Amino acid sequence: MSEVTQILHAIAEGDPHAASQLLPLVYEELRKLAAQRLARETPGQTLQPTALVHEAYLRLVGEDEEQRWDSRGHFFAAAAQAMRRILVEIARQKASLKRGGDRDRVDVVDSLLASPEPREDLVALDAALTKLAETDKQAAELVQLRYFGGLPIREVAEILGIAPRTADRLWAFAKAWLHEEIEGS
Amino acid sequence: MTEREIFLAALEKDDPTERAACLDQACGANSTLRQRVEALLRAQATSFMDMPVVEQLAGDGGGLDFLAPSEKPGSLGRLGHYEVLEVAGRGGMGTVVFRAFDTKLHRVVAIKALAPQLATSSAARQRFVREARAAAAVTHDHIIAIHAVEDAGPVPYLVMQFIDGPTLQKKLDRTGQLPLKEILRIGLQIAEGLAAAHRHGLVHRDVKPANILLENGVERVKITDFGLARAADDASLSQSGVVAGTPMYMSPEQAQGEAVDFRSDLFSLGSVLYTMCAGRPPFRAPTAMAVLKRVCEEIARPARELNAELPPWLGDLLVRLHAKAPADRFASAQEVADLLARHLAELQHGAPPSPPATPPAGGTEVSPLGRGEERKDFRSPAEPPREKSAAAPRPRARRRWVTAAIFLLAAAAGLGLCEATGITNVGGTVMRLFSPEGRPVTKADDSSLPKGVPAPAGLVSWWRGEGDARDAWGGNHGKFVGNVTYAAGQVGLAFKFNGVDQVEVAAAPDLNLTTAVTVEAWIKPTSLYLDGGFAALMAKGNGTTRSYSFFLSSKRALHLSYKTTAETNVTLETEADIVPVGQFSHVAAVIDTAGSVMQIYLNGQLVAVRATAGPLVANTQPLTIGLSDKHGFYGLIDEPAVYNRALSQAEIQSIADAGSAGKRVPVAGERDKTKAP
Repeated sequence: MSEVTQILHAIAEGDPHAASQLLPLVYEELRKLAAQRLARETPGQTLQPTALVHEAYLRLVGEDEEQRWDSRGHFFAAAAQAMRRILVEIARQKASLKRGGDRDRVDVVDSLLASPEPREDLVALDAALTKLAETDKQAAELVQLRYFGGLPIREVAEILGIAPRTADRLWAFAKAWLHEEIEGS
Repeated sequence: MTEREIFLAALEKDDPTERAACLDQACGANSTLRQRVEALLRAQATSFMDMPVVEQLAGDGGGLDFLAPSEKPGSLGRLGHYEVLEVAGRGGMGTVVFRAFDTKLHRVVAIKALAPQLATSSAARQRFVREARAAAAVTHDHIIAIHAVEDAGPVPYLVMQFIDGPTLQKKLDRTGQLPLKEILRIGLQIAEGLAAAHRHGLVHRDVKPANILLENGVERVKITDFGLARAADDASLSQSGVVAGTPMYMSPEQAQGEAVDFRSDLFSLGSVLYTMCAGRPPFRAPTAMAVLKRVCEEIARPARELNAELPPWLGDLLVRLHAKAPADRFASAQEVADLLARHLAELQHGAPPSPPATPPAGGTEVSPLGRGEERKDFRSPAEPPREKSAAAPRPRARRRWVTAAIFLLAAAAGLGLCEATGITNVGGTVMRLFSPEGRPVTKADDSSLPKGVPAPAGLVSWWRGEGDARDAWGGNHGKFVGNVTYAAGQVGLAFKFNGVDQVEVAAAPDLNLTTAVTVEAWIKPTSLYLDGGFAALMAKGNGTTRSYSFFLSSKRALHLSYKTTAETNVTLETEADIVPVGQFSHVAAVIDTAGSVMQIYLNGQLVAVRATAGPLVANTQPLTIGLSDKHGFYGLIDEPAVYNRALSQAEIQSIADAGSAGKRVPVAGERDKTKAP
C-alpha cells in the first residue's frame, strides 16, 4: 500500500496528524495538475474538478490501489475528507501568517501563499461543518463531497445512496444552514 | 415540522405570496422559527458555496478576482483602462499573461500581471518592475516592445506588444528540426535582439525557445520574458544565491550559481540553435539535476550526427557557443549575428563564400583583443571594465549557496515556475556540484554517472549524510524511502523530512557498533504538530531489533535509548522544551558501553547523562534517518553522522561551532571514505 493510501486510511480513521502529512503531497500534485491543464486548455474553458481530484489521487495512490477501496464512493469520501483537512490547514496557516505569525513556525511555502484565496472562510466553514455533522451527518457528508471533493450533485447522490432530487434539496439546506452558522444571527 | 422541512417546503414555492403563506401555515405564531427559516431562505439565495473550493483553486475563477468588473460582453474584467479579453498563458515567477484591449489607443495588447497574492511581497514586486524596466530599456525589432508599467495599484502589471503567433517552442513541437534557412533566419534575429540587449548592458538569462515569439505571417522574432534579465553589473545577481532559468538551456556558469554575463546568453543561444538544428535540446535528462550535470560536464552530441544537412561551419558554431568556459565563446552576440547573416546571404543569393570568420573552436584561450574589436573589455561590450568583474571567480565560502540554489531551482520548478522553466518532472535527485574542498564533483542519481568518479581529497566522517547518501565512490550507502527532499541547511543541503518518509543507510557491517556509538546532526523541527509520540532522528533497527534510537519528543525533549541483550530499553531523556522549533540546533548522543555512560548534547553542551545498563545489542537492521516505527520527524536534518566511538565534549562542541559558521570539519579518527570498507 503506498504511503499516501496509508495516510488516507489514517485520515478516514480520524487521525489528525495524518492529514498534515498529506498536505504537501496532495496539494502539490493538485496544483501541478491544474497548472498543466491550464497551460494546455484553451482559455475560457473550465477545468473538470472531479477529474482533477480523481487524477491527482490516482497519481499519488496508484491505479491499482483504487481497487482496494470498498467502493468508488469510499475512495472519494476519503479524498474529500483529505482535501478538507488540507485546505483548512492551509487557510489556518495563512491566517496565522497574516496575523503576524512567525514565518519559521509555519509550514507554508510561497506557492501556497500564491494560491487563490477561496471565497469562503474555510476555517470558519470547517467549524460550522463539524457542528452540522452533530445534528445531520448526511448533510455534512454531502457538503464535504460536493464542496471539498468537487463532485457534482449527481455523483454525490449516488455515493450517499439518495435520489438526486433529495441531494439537491439537502445541498440547498446545508449551504443555507452553514451560511447562517458562520454569519451568526 | 423541523426548520429543515419548512425551509424545503417554502423553497418549493417560487412565488413570494405563496411562500409567505406557506410560512404562515408552518410556523404559525412561532416568530423565532419563522425568522430563522426566512434567514435560511435569504442565505440560500446568495452565491455562498456555489463553487466547490477545489474548483476555485483549480480554475481561473479564483485567480482573476483582481480584475474590476466590466460590462463589455466577452470581457473577463478590467485592469485600469484595459479590457481583459482572455488568459493567454502563464508567465514565469507567478505571473499571468492576458490578451487585452487598450480602450484609449484602441489596440490589442498583452498584459503581464503579477499574481495578487505575490503582489504583497515587495521582493516579488520589485523583481517584476525590474523586469519591465529591463525590457523597456531596449528598443529593437526583435525585442518585445513594452508600452507601460503600472505598479501603483494592488496588482502590478506591464503592458506590452501583443504578438500574434506561436513561440519557437510550439513551432519546434510541431515541426521538429527546421530547414537550414529557417535556422539561420531565426537564429540571426535572436542574435540581433540579444546584441541589442547586451549593448544596453542587459543579460537576458533565460534564453529558450519558449521565450522566442514568432510573429505570424512574417515569422519575425520577438524575444520576450525578461523576468530574469539583469544588468550585467547588478550586484544582487550574485548575492541572491538563486539559480534560476531553464536547466536545458542554461549555461554552465548559470547552473553553478556563478555570476553570469552576456556570454551566458550566448551559450543559451547555442542551445536554442542546436534545438532548431537537431530537433531536440542538447542536454536532456530525466531530472533537472541530471540536466544541470550534463550542461556542466558533458559535450552535446554533435548536431551534424542528428541532422546530416547541417554544414560544417554551423556545427563548429554550435560547438563554439557551447564552450564551457565563457572566454572560449564568441566575443559578442553581434559577432554571431554577423556570421549567421553572412551564411544566410550565401544561401539565399548563392554568393561566393567569404572566408569564415569563425576562429578555431574549443580549447584555445582566445584573446579578446585579437578579435579585432574596438572594445577594451570583452566582458561588457558597451561598458568599461568594472572592479567587481562579473567573470572573476567567487570566493569559496559562496559555494554552499550553490547547493542551496540547486535545491531552490528544483523547488521553484515544483512550485509552479515549472511552466516557465519547462520542468514538469523534478525527481528527488540532488547534486552537490562542489565538494567542500572546492573541486567540482558531481554526484547524480542516474546510471550514466561514470564509475570511478574521483573522491574529494581529505577525510570525511565514518558515515555522514551528505546531501545525497548514495556515494559514487563506495562507502556506506543510503537510500531514500519515500519522499525525502532537500532544503538549505546549516551546512549545505539538509534532508527534509515530512514525518512519513526516511533515509535508510544500508546495513553495513561496520555500522554494527557495539562498543560505542555517537550520532550527531543539525536538526530543525518545523512542525508544531508532533502531537503524541516521538519523532525519530536516527535509529538503528526497528521494533524489537532496535540497537539504539535518538529522537525528539512531542514535548521537544531529546531521548536516547538503546536495547541491551536482556531485551530491555535503557533510556535517557532531557527535560522538555529544550529544542526550539523553526531553527537549527546541533544535537548529539553518545552511548559508550566501555565507559559505561550515555550522554546527550545540545549545541555542544552536555544536557543529560546517565550510566549505561548493559551492553549494546547489535543487529543487521539498517540505520534510518527521519523515521522509526512510524514515528517520523517533520523538518530538516542536516549533516547526520555516525561515529564508531564516543566523541568527547570538546569534539562535539567543535562540530557545533563549525556548523554555526556554515562549515564542516572532519573529526579526528574518522574513516577515510576514499577507501572501501
